[in-house]
Amino acid sequence: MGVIIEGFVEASRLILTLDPEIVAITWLSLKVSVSAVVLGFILAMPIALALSFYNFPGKQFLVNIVNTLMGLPPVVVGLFVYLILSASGPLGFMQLLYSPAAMIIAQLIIVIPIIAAISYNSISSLDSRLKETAVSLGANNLQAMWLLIMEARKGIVTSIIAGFGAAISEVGAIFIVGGNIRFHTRALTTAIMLETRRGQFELAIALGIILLAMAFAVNIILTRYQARGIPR
Amino acid sequence: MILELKGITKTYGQQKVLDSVCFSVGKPEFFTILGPSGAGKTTLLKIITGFISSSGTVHFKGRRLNNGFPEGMVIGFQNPIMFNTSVFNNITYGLKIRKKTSNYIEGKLRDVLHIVRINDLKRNALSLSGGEVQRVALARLLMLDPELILLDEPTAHLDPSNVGNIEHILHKVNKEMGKTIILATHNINQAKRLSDRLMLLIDGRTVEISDNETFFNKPKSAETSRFLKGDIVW
Ligand SMILES: Nc1ncnc2c1ncn2[C@@H]1O[C@H](COP(=O)(O)OP(=O)(O)O)[C@@H](O)[C@H]1O
Ligand SMILES: [Mg+2]
Repeated sequence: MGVIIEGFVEASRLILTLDPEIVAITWLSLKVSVSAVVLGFILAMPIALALSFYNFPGKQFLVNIVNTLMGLPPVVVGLFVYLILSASGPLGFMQLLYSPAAMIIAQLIIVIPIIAAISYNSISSLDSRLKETAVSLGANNLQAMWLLIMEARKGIVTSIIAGFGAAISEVGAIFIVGGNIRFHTRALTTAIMLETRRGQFELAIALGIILLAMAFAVNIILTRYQARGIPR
Repeated sequence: MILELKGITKTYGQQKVLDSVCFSVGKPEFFTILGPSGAGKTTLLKIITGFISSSGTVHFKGRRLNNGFPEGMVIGFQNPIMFNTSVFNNITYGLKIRKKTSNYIEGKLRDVLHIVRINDLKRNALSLSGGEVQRVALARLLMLDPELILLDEPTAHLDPSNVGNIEHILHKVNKEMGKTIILATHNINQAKRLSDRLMLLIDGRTVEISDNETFFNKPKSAETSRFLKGDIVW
């Protein structure tokens, strides 16, 4: 019991004094996950829009793939990206392994299907009368599409937040491709794993508090956003 | 003649939903397509607006309609749906996508609100009651200053006071604003109250097209008399 209490006291001190290592770890985690989500959004939206607005051969197959990839185990993603980026892999020449860039790539692969699937779902489950109404009021295809995107905006924002939640709390992939190198590729989750194993509970607890606070903040934003009537 | 339909036929599988329907509507007429549910009213309106394909021809202002939604015509759907945004944004949508200036939009809005009473423009439209939804849907159409307004059962699920309110608005839109209206309804009394001319549609067949007086007092078809007496079960 004493260890835990001492751990929390020391953890609070580390956070409040902005311990440089904690700041570096938190900053890296944020940088990697936010980058993955921003890039993921840019790449996932075209997929979601193509699935929502166009019919093409193999569409249902693609929907199934996206839905399946949503549950991809991060360790498997890590292994896959590792193989591609390792010296003997197809992209080995880029020398990205054990860098934040490699971590972003791995999280990107985790995030894309999440954003694409949730966004597609929210657009395709809209009432079909919405499009007819827009068209009957004079909207062209692009304008009607934009209206549907706006109608699905709650779901799209949800997909972004869900993507961020998955990225920031993921360990397996960034551990494999990042290598957990101090002041370089050490993120919140991989640091907690390491410090716990080393018995450095103060640091682990401090990082855990930060991670929890982030997850909590994300959830608060999400539920607040969903509960509120959409502004105009 | 603002609208002219010739030989409109539509089949779904084996079922002939519309059987060579022909009629024309002048300006500014109040024309009603009266018929029991399942008669083909909604299908007919969607054919006119190009949402459903069919055989036969539709001419609007002398031009044959092919595809795309015709400018100058609007449709109020059975159970209109509101966009998830303010009442104001719903009503002004059609003009905003046409890039009209806010001065123009405000002017039009004033004209329309003069006919259709709407209290709170800032409210989210998803929170409106059934009667309010119908009024906002009407206002949304009227903003476009259409020459022809198609309406599909605009009072189907409303209580009597709202029905009266909407009918009053439609009457004004037709007689004061001079808009041509084609109303699809199963409501005989409503048809009688509002129409200049009517068409009785049963099972996709045109039973009779007459002016109000003839239709209700000395119908040309025995089937019309039976329909009006309530002998046709539907
Ligand atoms: N997409 C469709 N596929 C098959 N049958 C349809 C379709 N739409 C309408 N119908 C049929 O066409 C007939 C006319 O329908 P509708 O035009 O909605 O009638 P109304 O509006 O007069 O009630 C009905 O028997 C209906 O079941
Ligand atoms: Mg109908």
